[in-house]
Amino acid sequence: MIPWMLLFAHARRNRLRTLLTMGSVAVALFLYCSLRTVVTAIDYTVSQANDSRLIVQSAVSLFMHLPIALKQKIEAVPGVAATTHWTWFGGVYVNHDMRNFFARFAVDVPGMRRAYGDLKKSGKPDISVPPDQWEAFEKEKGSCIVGRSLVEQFKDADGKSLFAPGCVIPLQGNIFPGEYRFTVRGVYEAINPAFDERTLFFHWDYLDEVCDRKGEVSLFVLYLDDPKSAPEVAQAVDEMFRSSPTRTRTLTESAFNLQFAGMWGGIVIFLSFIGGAVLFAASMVTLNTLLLNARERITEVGVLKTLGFPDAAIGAGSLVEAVSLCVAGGAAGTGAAMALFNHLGGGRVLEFLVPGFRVLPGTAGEAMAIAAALGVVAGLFPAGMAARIPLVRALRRVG
Amino acid sequence: MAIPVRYHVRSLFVRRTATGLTVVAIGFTVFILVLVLSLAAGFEESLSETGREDNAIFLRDAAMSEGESVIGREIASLVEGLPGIARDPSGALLSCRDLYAGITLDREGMPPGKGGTMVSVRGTSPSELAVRPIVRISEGRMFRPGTEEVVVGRGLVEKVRGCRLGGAIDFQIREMPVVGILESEGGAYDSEIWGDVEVMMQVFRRESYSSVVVRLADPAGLTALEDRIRGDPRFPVKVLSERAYFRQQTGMLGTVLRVMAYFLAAIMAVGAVFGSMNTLLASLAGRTREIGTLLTLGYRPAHIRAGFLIEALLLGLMGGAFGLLLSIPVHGAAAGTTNWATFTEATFRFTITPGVMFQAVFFAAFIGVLGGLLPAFRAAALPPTEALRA
Repeated sequence: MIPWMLLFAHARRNRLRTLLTMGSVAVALFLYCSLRTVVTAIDYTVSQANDSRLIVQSAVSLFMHLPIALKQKIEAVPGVAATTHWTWFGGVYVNHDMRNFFARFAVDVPGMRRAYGDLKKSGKPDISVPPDQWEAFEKEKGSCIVGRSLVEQFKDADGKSLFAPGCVIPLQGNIFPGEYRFTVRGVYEAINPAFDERTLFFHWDYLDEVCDRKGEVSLFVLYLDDPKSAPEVAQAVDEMFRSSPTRTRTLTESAFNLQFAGMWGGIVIFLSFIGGAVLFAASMVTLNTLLLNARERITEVGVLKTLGFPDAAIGAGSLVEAVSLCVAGGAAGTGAAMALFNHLGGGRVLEFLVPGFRVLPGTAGEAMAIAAALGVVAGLFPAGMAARIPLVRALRRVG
Repeated sequence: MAIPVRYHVRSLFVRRTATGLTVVAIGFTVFILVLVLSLAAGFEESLSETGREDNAIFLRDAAMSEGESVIGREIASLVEGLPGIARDPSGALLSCRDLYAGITLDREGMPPGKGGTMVSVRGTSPSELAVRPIVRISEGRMFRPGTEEVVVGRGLVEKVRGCRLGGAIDFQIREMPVVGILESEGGAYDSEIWGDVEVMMQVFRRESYSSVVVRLADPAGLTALEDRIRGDPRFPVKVLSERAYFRQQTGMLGTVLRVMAYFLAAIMAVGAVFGSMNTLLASLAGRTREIGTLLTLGYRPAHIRAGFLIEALLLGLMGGAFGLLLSIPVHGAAAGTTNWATFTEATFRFTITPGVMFQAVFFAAFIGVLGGLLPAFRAAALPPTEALRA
């Protein structure tokens, strides 16, 4: 038997205090969701990888180029259905400002369309581009396609996008020195949420024609007939070039993406640590409030005891109050995080760091569980105090 | 006459549970701010200490970092022919031509091929030590020119496979023996591997350098160099002081860390303000009669208001002190992550600078006072007669 009707009477009596406590729990869980999402978004790029693709890179370094001549040899390996290649262009757009930085790749356009953009052939496409835009892009050597986020980000003073189809994008080359101008012929949207929507793709053939570094690519992408054959194919490719001057390292797409996830290194542990500290601080605030409440209610506890409520019921009542306070605060914080990152475009702003910055349902669930646990931990002490206090002492304060 | 501060100190002490819990909550908030700011400070310091004001670095005109820069042999020779470059006592030019590249190596203790990291490799010549005297060989010796010997930065030792005296670095085509450990007083070179530039050119199959670094005969000579190469088509390069260059390299990661620090601190501050407001409001509720007495004794409402703000400030400062105390063990701890300017491993130390401490104390005081505003005004508004009756 718990004095139910008293539970919410307490919460209502000191509204400001209740709100402030819920507010601090909400803040803590908002931060928890934000920090945790950095980690899940990084993992996401790994877990969303396509199993039927392998990446061949130089064994020495990711940033060392491979000769295009390897293409034919790789295609001859049994189990390889098709190949395409990517080349990191680097370059500078307008100036070195961080906001003007986005990825630029030179690609084999028909191969890219087959491997990443074609609904029918690749099974699980990563990007979607209207067919007429694909064709316009394929036909024109000096053209490019850009991600939707770029179209939204770069606008002139009148609000007109500088990356819309028909616009010309000037880039200054550094790895491939020279001045480049690409005409936008299409805009892609990411279907795979882990695919970066801030990238410019242009023709590798064009790059190879105009620059002095001929026949170089950053990496090859292999399509497999059967994803199960990945380990054998990878081994066969690396074995083929083991004694050549261009040794390769062939990785599954998830292992490849893991290299980038690994670059965050200590930062991920650091974020988790911060998350812990944030929750600890919030639990101190909550515990403090509940203790303040308990102290003010000593008289009430005495009255309840006189009326015959058992100690356990009084303690449980306090506990239920604490848990509901925290869960309500947690719901507010988690809800705010989900609204901000998933619906109001807050995740978009962070895309230059990690693509696919979204609060996952799992994270929200964790946050709510933590909120409840916080309520239990912070509620146990005052609940115990309320239940244990001797009747005579509690009533002595009446008056 | 204002209320004696002792009264406020005692008020906080009487409610020590609530005071303690609030101090802990504010303390953790300050701790987080200090943690992230000291990470940013350590990173920025490690880079800015690396560069010299009287060294000039030449990069390809559109390159932001050495990793993106390509300087052919002819251009390098032209650059070294420019006026204003210092010479050592024997008359040799104080200049070094570097090749900068990244190599994928396994982290120590991780299975081969998994969880690799990008490590910076600098192909150079022993003249580097004259141009960059911050670097010294602390163990073993410098590599011999023309050989496959390498020296590794102190920050990589024990962290990356093969990076120890007597170890060998796996450059795939060949294994290169480690003959020395280099140290640069915590600077960026501590995370690099150095070897002979011609050997590295073969390894990375490149025919060009990344940068040319020269000692200026006169530190003010940089402008003259800039003017000399500007608009000259034979020099598709840019020149900047080495210090300015390294400061630029903090760009992305430094900014991200700072933004993260202020974002976390701002949001956590909201929570901490709520906490201290709660504490002071409860203290106000329990002290209504005391306040009535003070008013009757002749203290003005302004005194009461000021008194509550002082208590709030004390609460904040105690939280700040606690937060700084918590962060002491972190000072000097090594941290490592990827510097996104070069995509290579960077090692540096958490550094609590006076600036960080000042920001922490200011932030703590701010949280306290902000939490105290509402209780202070409420307290000052109490009518004396009713307060006494409470």
